[in-house]
Amino acid sequence: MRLESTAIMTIQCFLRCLSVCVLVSCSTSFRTLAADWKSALMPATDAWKDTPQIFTFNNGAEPESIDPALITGVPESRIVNELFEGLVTLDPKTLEPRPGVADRWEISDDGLVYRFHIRDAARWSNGSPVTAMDFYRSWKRVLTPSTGAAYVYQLYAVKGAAAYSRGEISSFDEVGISVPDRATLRVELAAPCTYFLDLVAFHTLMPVPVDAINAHGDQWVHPTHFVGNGPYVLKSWEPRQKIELVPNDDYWDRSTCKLERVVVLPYDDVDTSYKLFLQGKIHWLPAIPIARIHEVQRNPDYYAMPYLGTYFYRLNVNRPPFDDVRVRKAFSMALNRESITRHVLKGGQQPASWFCPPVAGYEPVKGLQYDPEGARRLLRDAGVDVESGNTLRVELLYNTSEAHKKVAEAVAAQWKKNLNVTVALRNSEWKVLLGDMSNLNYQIVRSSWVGDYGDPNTFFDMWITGGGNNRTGWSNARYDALLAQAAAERDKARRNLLFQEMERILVEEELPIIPLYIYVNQGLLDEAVCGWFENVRDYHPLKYIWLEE
Amino acid sequence: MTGHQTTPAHDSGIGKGTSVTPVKGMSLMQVSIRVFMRNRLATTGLVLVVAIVLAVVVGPWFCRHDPTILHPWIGARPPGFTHPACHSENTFQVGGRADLPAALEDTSALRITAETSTYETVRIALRRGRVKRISRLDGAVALESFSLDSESMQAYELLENGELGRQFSKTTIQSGDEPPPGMFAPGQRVMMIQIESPGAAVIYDIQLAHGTVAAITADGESRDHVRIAGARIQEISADGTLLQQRYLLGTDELGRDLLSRVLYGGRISLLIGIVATLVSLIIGVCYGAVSGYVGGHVDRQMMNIVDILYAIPFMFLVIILLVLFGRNIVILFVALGAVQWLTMARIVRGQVLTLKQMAFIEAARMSGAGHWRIILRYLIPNAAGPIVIYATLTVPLVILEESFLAFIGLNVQFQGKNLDSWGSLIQQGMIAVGMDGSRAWLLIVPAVVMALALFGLNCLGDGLRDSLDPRTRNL
Amino acid sequence: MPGYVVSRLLQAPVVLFVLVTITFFMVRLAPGGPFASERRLDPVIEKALHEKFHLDKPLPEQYGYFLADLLKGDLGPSFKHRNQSVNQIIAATLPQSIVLGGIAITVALSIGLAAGVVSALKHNTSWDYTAMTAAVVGISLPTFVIGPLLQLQFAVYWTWLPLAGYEGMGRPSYLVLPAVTLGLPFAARIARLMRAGMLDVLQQDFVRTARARGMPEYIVVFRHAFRGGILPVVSYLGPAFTQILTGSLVVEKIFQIPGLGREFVEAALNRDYTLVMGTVIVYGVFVVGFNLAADIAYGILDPRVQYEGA
Repeated sequence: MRLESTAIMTIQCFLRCLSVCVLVSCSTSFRTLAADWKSALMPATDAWKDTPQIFTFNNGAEPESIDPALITGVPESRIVNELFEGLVTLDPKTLEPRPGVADRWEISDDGLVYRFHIRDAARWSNGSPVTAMDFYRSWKRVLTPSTGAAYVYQLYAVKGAAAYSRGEISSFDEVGISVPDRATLRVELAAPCTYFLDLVAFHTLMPVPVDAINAHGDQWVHPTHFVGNGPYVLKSWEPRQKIELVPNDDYWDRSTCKLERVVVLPYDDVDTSYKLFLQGKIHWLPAIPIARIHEVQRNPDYYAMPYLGTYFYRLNVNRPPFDDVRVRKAFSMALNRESITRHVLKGGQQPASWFCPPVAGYEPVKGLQYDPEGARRLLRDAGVDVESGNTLRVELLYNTSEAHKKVAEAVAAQWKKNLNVTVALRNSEWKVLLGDMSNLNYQIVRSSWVGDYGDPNTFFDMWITGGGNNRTGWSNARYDALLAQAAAERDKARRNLLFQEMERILVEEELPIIPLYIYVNQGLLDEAVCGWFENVRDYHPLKYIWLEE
Repeated sequence: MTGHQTTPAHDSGIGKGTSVTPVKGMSLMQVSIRVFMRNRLATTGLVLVVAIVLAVVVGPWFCRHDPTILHPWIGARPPGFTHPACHSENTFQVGGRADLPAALEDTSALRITAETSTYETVRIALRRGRVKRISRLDGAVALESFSLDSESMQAYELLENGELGRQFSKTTIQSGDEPPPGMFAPGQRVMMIQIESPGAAVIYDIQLAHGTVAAITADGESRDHVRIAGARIQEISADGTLLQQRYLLGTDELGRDLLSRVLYGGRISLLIGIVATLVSLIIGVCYGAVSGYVGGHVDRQMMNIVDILYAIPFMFLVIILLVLFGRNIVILFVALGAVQWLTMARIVRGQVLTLKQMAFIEAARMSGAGHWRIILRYLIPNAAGPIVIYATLTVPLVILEESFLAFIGLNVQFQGKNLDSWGSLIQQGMIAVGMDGSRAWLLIVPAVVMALALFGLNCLGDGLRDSLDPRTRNL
Repeated sequence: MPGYVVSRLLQAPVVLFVLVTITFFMVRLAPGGPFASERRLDPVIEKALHEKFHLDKPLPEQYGYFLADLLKGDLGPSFKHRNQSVNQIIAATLPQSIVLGGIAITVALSIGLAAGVVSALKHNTSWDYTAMTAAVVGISLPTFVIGPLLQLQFAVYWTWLPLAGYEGMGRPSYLVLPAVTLGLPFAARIARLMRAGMLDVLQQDFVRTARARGMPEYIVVFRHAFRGGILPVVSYLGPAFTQILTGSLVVEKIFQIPGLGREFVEAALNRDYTLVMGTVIVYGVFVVGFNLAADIAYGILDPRVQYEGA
């Protein structure tokens, strides 16, 4: 029932909206601090000064840590992005790289060497200057296995980093990180990486106070010992009650920080936090009670925006019946994804028969369209007796959650109807599911993938033969070759064509996965909140936010 | 649950209650029945339990809805809702079976009226009098502007109750601008607009022979294959009679029939209650009987172990077990049964201690009966009264415990099906009810049914205890 | 009596040891490791983490490490909350749970005892019927139905009390709804026990004698009947305490109280082995201790009870 080919609406197309999301041109040789991008993020008048600048939001979980090297989750990164600042930060509107601790940087013409110049005013919250050495030591810490940095591979683009982390080389001097002077960090990459600045903005690559860590051990993150270099500092951390942030007076851009106090709540019950939002106790709730979506959509403060993530099912290609590509195709073609996003999810999710969301100018291929008759035909070809019941039984594994359960039930109903296949649903705890997924102990398993950076590569390199995140048993030599080719390609357009080719293999020819939809982020944002921008990474630096009644 | 007497606190069981005045010429059983029937709460409980058990056991055979069939486009609808009897997608192929939920063996002509209008919902939110965000509800992307300039389109305000409000004439709304004057009421900050582009309804005539499609015409044109989305079907008639589905208790968000879900949920809750109670019964009776029968030092040690086990937080172990080893229903039976057997063991042991002094046991022993024979043949049957009473009271406890587990997300599964017990239905209902009380039936129905069942079981158990064995009411 | 207490005191560590051992092996033998994640860890990192938490060692050796640390009072680092030790997490969450449980028991006892006494004294009147019907309803309604209903009524419609959250002991209003929710089902059970106990005592000879001798009714009720009637309640307190702890898992979630219960459930879900062990040990200590206390109290109140070795 979608309006088609009518000109009644000027739609800023989904694809275009996402494509603004990055990128850096490789030929950039020098960048100066341009202030104009920033003025668009600042209040036009001084009216905000009449409003108390105390901002409260529900983070949804107690952060597991606030150590930039260790964290993995979204709630943690929301806090860490305020407490620390990388060499580069992202523009909250366009997600382009903007100067952070480094006020400028140079990239060599071959795209292999980056020189970051650290601004003079960069300070830790204890007043000492942030130097290139801080980055050198922090990155070395990330690459040291005993630190246990889950996202260590965000540094693997750097020459020698992977080898050092895996113990193949023992001297850190062989890693392409060096400090020519205290204000300059020189980074040499193993291969050109078009999205390296995006990686530099990532929390794993933020500087940490190594001296404080050595002095206090695991306890360095406690407010009494805490030292950071971000716009905000940790004022208090009452576990499971709240975290309070206040502006870091030593921060080089202190004048931009308008919020005087930020209260971060860890409430994990969406219903309760929704009620608190309605009572005006929370300014921002980055989640909604999905069972009440009709009601929430009537709330003027509701928002929904596309997210750089895909919801999909993995198929185990080593196990019957999904060792037959015709069966895999049939299962994908028998899915009416729009019916699921429209009637089950209802949050404006984009039904997707492709895997990689449009990002950085990449436009996905179409994938296999809904075609129940064609699907039945394929299944018959594969030797399945579609007409008589109970010939094929498959098991769909998902992790316990109301939303996953609903989707799984709807999918199972469609497969039953369209393919006459009995789908047994099995749910298990997240950690058990992950174990089963890694050991290929499943037939179909619910999965999702959220991009680590704004480049299609984050959605494609996982499917490499034997990759840690492949977990389908699928292997395709042509795909691997294309991936290698894309890694070496610096021309954006040609690179995107390679990615499209890979995607065609993934979702039209081989189907180790069945994509379902592209995520949206839904939430509630109080009318008083300004300087909060929609983007596909759900990235909302507090530095630019202010309150205005 | 008096803890640690080495001698039983109450020395006899049935019929010695001081509150009962025996009437001449009545057997103990008759007295008990009379006492029970005079207890209004107890009889209410009995009636409730019988009614609910009957409904749950027999009901699903009469209720034509399958609780697992989804009608996602219907969504949550209040009790009494009806709609044309169809699937999410209905395909008809000449030569194939007619694909509808109803049995169509006797039907020769099927007529389906399906609409072709298209609908689109656009949401407009204001911020300080200006348009902040325009978006289509089925696409999260913000629109720069929204304009209605085509004559063939009609736009209406979509009201909260789902009805259409004012119609809008030609308008353009630009993001960041003020909305057209008069469009928003003062203080109104959000509006849903439904855009319709009307199309004539299509009528499909399908000729059937013994449930097989013989011919299809769509608006008079012959077809050999059609696929009609359930959401578009306005009416289905078979030989002139409307085919409709009625939902007595409404539907949940996926359009599943709530009545059948509650009935099937009841089967699961009761099954878990009864099976886990049986497990506790078996363990508790054997343990208690052995302990009481053997007596002496062994008895003291065995009861000591029970005392120790009382102090172990079993529910925590059950949670760990379910979390770690999967929500298998068998694990749940055993785990919940293992939590409940302790009290049963104490009761049985107390009974056995009393009974084994009695003459008929002595007689049995004299006649050469073995220990096991005495325990199984004489002691346990004679302790049946208190055992049954306590079992009746254990069932609601177990149901409550299962619902507690379902609530924290540990609902059980069996053979690839999600078994939504009453507890999980309540949990799902609770998160679905609106802050204004909308969709309240999703919570009220399962909560009331479960509360009634537990209330009935508790009253029944109390009543049985008071009439059969008034001295054990402290348990 | 002292002998009995001593033997129970000696038993307590054994119970705890058994509990801890069962939990330890159950948790470790379960499928799914603590470091599984959506993005699979680099094998090097995974190995380093396993070494850090001794997970690379054979189970008996891990158990040895665990016991050695336990004897030192160290429950180890949390696997999930990487900058906190289990001791710190428990220290941060236990007080809320204790306060919540304490208030809940107080609520349960005051409502339950009052209702029980009234219905026993007004036996077979409408007071009695109303109270007992309410009590059956109370034990038939799950906590997770009562909680949100109270929330809606008192926090959303009437806004008398805070909806959820916790602001420290200085703001006790945050604990009212959770404690009432947690306490109500136990109030119902206590009322039933109290009524039954009192009725029992009131029918006994010594009470009749006391009444016959013209003793004032309030003395009869409070010196004799109450003291005898409360015995079943006292013996119920041990199990009740365990059930209140269990119930707090749900109540802490509904009302977002930062207590130990939520920590336990999350730790189990996350395979946070050390935190699971820590919470189970703490709960074990409380349950065992409280049961012991309830038993001793029972002995003091009931002169008929003869203890082993007394």
